[in-house]
Amino acid sequence: MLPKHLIKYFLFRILILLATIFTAFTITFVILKIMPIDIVNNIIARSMAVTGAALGDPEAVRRMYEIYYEIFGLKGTFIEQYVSFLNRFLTMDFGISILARPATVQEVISYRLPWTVALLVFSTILSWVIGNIIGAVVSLFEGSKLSNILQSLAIILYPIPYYVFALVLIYIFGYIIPLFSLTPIRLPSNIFSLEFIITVFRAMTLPALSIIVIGALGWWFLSSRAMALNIISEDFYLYGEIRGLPKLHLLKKYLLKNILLPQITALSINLGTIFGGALLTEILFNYPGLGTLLYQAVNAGDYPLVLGIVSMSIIGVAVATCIMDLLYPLIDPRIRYR
Amino acid sequence: MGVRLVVQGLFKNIIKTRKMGLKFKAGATIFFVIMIFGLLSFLTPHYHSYWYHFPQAHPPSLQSVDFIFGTTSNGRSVFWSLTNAIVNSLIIAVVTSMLACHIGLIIGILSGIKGGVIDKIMMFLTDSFIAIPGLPLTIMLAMILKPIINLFLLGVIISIISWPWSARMIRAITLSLREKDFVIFAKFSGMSTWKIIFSEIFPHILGFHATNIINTMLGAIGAEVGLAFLGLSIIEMDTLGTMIYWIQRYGAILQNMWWWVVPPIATLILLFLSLYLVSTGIQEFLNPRLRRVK
Amino acid sequence: MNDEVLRIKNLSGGYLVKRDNTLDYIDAVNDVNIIIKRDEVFGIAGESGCGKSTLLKLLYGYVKSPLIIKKGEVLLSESTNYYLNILSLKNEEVKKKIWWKYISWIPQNSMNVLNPTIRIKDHFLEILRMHMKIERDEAHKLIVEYLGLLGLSKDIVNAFPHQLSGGMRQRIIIALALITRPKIVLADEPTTALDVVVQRGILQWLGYKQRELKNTMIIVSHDLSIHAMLSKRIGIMYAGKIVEISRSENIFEKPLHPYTQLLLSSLPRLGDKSLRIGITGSPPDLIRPPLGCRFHPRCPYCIERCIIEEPDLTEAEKDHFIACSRIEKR
Ligand SMILES: Nc1ncnc2c1ncn2[C@@H]1O[C@H](COP(=O)(O)OP(=O)(O)OP(=O)(O)O)[C@@H](O)[C@H]1O
Ligand code: SF4
Ligand SMILES: [Mg+2]
Repeated sequence: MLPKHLIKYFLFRILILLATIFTAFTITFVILKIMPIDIVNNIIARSMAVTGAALGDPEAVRRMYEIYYEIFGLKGTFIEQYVSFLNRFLTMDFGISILARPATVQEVISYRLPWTVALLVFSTILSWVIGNIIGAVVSLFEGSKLSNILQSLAIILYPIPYYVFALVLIYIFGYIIPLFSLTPIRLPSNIFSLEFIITVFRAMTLPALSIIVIGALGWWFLSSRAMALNIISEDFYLYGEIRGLPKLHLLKKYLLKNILLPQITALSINLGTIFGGALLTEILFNYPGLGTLLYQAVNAGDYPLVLGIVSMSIIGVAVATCIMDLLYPLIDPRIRYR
Repeated sequence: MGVRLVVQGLFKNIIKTRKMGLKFKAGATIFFVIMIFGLLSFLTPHYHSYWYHFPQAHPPSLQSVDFIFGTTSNGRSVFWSLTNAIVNSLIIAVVTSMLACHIGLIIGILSGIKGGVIDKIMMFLTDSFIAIPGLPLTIMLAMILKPIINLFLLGVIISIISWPWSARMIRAITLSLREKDFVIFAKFSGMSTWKIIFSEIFPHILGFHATNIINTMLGAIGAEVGLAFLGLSIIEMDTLGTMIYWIQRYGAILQNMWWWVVPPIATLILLFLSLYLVSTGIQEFLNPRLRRVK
Repeated sequence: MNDEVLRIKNLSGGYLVKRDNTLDYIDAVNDVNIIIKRDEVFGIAGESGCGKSTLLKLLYGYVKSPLIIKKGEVLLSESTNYYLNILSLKNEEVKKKIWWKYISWIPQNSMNVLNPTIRIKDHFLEILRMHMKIERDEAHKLIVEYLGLLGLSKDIVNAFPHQLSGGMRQRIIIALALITRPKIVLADEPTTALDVVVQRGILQWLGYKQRELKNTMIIVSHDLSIHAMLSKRIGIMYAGKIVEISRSENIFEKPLHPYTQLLLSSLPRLGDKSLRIGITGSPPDLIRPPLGCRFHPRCPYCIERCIIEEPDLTEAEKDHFIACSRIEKR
């Protein structure tokens, strides 16, 4: 059974989650509402031109109008506007996607979501683990050649966004060493076949690589190394050395253990940024996730789908951050046993 | 009086640059070179605004600058595109950082100094903005505002996701300053809040503010490139982002048109590197503990 | 029978530090000679920065950059006439053969020396596994038993360091140093971070443990009242050099070295209402220590000879060594 203070912490964190999503949507509402009215009419007209003709169904056109007016807060009293807006964003009910009609926005998103989640989870965890371990190990050899080289490399990689680095990778792997296909992938129908796994692997490798290289050797490496250097000069680390503990033990239980906990917090804070970068990286590699979907939606003027992805991102990042915060006390003994 | 102190503070900081470390010098040099290159854009010939000025059958003459980097698939000179792109990208970056950093500065200082309810409300707002994943939000805005987009507006859009981080950091610094002896002393000696802000707090924030402006510029340049990937930057203009957009559009990478591909990507990476080096250089200078003595 | 356990011979060492492209040597321990006996508490006293901790590190064989050994030996007497020079061993050998088997360490600043992310029992386990090759289950039983013997509640084995008070943590650290029953225990300012009442309790406990285990203890502290309580013999250190060594009574009742005299006269005494004289001047820069007697810039008895000639540690009276050129002439 969980101790009382933990239950309290969990409930409080979930409350924060709800408040965050709620305010984020409110902010979006306000921003959309202050858009100049002629722009709104402009985009509505544009969407209608595409959909209206294609649907050929007056009822559908009327519903489309309704959704747009609600989203941009152009219908009913202020309270009504707000409530219907929130309702749409929370349920992601933006009607039919223009791009993929007659599928609804929800359907299109739920089809692409697993791809993005898989890429993000895989590459984020891997880059976090690799970067932190390298940073800690290298700090033990501070001043050595290897350490200096890695540090210079990290300083170059650190400020580069994933998607710019991805261009470099495309150039290298797409042209010079054509190992991976950059054309849109077509999935074999049998999910359990070897072919399926290979296809997924090939689709995922390059986008994951660009995220992992920048994340591991740039971001996490630098912060982990800085933290490790601090810990090495701390009394408890020196006392560990004085007691003659084996090097590997010191690395695992004294350095890494004390680095990883704050780094989990850093990860949860940066989730939004990582997510955004990953979306753009997907586009460059034609990876069939939300990012590429967003690209297609933007190009097709598919506002409902774009709004759906925005709402999905807000909820997704907030929930992921919340889950990490909920897991944190299970990992950090100091919170667990307070 | 406040202004004088701020100017003095700035002046002191500039004088100190002579003692700046290697990182700062390297970064500033790279940035300077890129800037000089960008300034050449004022010499842009008028034909540069037309597409297919250089049809594939008629490449530019060997003597002209157009030949340095060659031409694009849509018949434009990469050289002039790049010089213009540098200037335009920097304009977006400067607009963003001026807006975002100063909004952050004001909110951060007010929050930190006033405390209480004002602080709580402002920080709740700030945190909510931080919780919204920035990129999808900017994409949505850029898409809606596409009909009237220009350099300034693009800067405004990017600032919307950039200011909350500045506000958080500035508030944290203000809070720590508030407990310092000289501020407490100033308070007891009956100085007004505004005077304290200008004479006691602001000079100490200046260093962070400078690095923050540079980091925000860095972020803004990156964000513009991101938007451009989706065709949401100002496609008619040359920016580092739109250059890459056209490269993607024409599949230049897969055709190995390296003379078109390499200049914008290399410039972009060098620009990121130089700005980052300058900002860490300033940081290490202000906080010598970050410099490790071996 | 030989009652020596440790003989420090001509020991010199210090720190090599790079500052603005010049390599400086901080002469923290210079030509130290001490013989330490079985079953005694030896105290080392001196101002902050005079090299006490450095001396301990050297004789423990914990030498890592920027600390270096210039010369000298630290001889551990294993049996009647067999001496082992700790400083001649390789790092890994010292770690395996000497630490916690012969010598253990109670560190300075007890507040932050326990790893915040592992439990108290893990700290004990680490030592038992590393130095006694006892594995988990057996070790666990042993730890609980051991803490019981020390009068510590066995609930704390599962606690994390931050859950314990400073005094409790200090007791744990002492318990860690004693669990393998080493011949020699080094204690570097064992109680500085604690308040006076807790400090007293811990020192008494430490003294009691020493009498029970009959091991040798070397206590470093700038606080003379701690030495008055525990130390049998005391070495006074000034600017990297030992300036006086004798039994506690001698040091406190009839100190011979001018520095010791000043150090003692700056202590408040019960019932004494006269103003205390502090030592004027500041401790010397160890990168460029004064020539001759290192104390001469601050010494009230300084004569020309002191500036030129470096005094040796000599036996002025029985069992009372001092390093001062003017000892006979004063
Ligand atoms: N790691 C180090 N690197 C460089 N110099 C050092 C280092 N540790 C100590 N020193 C210097 O060596 C000299 C002696 O230091 P040491 O720690 O031995 O003094 P101490 O007598 O133990 O003082 P305290 O009572 O403050 O602990 C001091 O001048 C100190 O500045
Ligand atoms: S040698 Fe001279 S200077 Fe040194 S302590 Fe003795 S009297 Fe003082
Ligand atoms: Mg010390």
